[in-house]
Amino acid sequence: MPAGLFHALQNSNRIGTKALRRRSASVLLISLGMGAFVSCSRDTSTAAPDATFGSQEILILQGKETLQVTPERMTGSGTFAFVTSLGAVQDGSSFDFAFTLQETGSITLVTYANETLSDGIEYTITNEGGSVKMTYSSGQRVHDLSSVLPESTKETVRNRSAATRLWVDVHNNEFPLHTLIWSGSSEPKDAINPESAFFNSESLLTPAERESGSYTFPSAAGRGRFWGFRLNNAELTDARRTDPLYEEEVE
Amino acid sequence: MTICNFASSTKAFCVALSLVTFFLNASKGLAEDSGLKTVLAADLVARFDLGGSDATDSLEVRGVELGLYGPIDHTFDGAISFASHPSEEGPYLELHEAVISATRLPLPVQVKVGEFFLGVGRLNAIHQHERPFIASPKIHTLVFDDAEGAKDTGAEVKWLAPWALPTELSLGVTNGWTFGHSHTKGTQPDRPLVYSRLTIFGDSALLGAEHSSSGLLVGVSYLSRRPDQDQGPDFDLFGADVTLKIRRGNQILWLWQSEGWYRELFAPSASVETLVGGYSVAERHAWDRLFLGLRAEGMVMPGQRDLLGRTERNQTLALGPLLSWKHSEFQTFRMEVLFEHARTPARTTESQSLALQSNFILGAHPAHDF
Repeated sequence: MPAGLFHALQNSNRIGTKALRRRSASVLLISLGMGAFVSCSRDTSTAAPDATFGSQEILILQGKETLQVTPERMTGSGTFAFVTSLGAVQDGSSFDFAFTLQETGSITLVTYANETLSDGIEYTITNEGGSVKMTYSSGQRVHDLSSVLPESTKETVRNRSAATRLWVDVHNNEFPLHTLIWSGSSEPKDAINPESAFFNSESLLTPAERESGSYTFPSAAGRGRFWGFRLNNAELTDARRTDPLYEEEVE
Repeated sequence: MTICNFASSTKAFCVALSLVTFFLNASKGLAEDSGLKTVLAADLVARFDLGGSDATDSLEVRGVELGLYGPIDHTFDGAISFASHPSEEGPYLELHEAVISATRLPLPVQVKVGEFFLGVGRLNAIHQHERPFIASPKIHTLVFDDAEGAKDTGAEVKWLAPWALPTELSLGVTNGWTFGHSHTKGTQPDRPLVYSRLTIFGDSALLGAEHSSSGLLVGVSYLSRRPDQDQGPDFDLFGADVTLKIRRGNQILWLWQSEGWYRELFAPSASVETLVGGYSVAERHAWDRLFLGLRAEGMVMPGQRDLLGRTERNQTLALGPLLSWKHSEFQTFRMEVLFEHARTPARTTESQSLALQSNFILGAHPAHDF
């Protein structure tokens, strides 16, 4: 079924009766199917990935000359996206990544974005001469997380003795957008709950905002299926995506 | 309705239940004269992991519902129901439905206004504890963003066609501030949510004289949502459903129910995701009050490609047997095994789970449409 067919159908005034009947019949045929069917489209792409990071293919969107890539690390400045998508737009993921920043450097995790890594949800850590800050943003809103970022994490970023590791849950299927962030040297297996995260976006939700539906923090969902990073004088040593670490029971 | 925490939620529910019980006992005659009826329903579910599933190997009260319904006067009926479901903050009490409806107008039209489950598809208007299986089909949970279904506040009009074949067209308009599972009020959308459903009913005259009181219901549905841009993509939803019940007297010998959905997400004005899926369940009376069934479901996101333009597979298939003991119209025990195969761009998983259910109803039971 051609993409955007029904959106065009809804807005068009020129589709004849026969064509409309044919397309409506196509819709009904698909809708009446008892099970799933698999798309039989042919792969026509001849493009190749720019590199492999970890075991994942990547495309460098910006900075091919300033970004050095090996399977174990990504160093320098530039923007890249993972070739494999996150699957569905209205879904949740957990992003586990490890990095170090230069004296003046930054790294941004971009999630649920489009092919150019825009219209997504972003998490940025910056080191400005020893002053470590963190923000997250979606839509037109940015929220400063610097005050809740643990001091131990800030110190690790500053002294670069080891890579800083963060786990970021992005629940792109909840509104307002729900995000949780943990930090540490290993996955918080025994403490995966909203209380053990150093940030849970639900803590920003006031009773007044629940009632009014008007939010002051980043609440917009990402509009795409892709993810990647923007590096500025940074080094990325690990990045992987899994199902959310924390899932609210909905049944 | 605002969120109630565990303590206040449980207290509120108990107070409401006590007041209703007290009122009905104290004015039993009044209740009988007024036609007011009370229904209490409970849905208990235990899910066990047989390999790779997210089942928690525990029993939980999936839902408790308190409903009051009856005629308001010679023209209007009213219905109010509350439900409690588990949530991360403990049992969460919410208003399920508060509806005033006009079903006895001197016109082939029925109107209802209030908060209600949207009249799209077959399953969405059926409460979870009344469905012919335990776990909600994945396609239903995805398109309605909630295992139970989507409800909203607005109005719905049903028109019964004047020809011999029972045909009904319904149109609904609701606020659209939220859709599916939400613990907040939501945000005003770009335009209200609109939906429509056309159903055609074939009775025993079509199926044959030997199938007296059997019926075949076929429906097609459409829903359009244009939320605030922060809430996510716009989408259009198309569905079709078929329900066949073959009875002997009051006993259902065969039930076959199938439903399919097609959804397109737009962001902005360009399709970003297409979802197609459906389910089918067949159940047969086996012996005494025992019923055997089989459910199958599947969904796929066709046309997905990675950044190099290569096709990505994103699909789920599930199959499982059902065993139901319908002790009476008010009590059912059910067992369901589900085998699931899911393939996403990142990985392929297989899982198996076992679910056990006991649901019961106390009080007057609202009549089923079909």
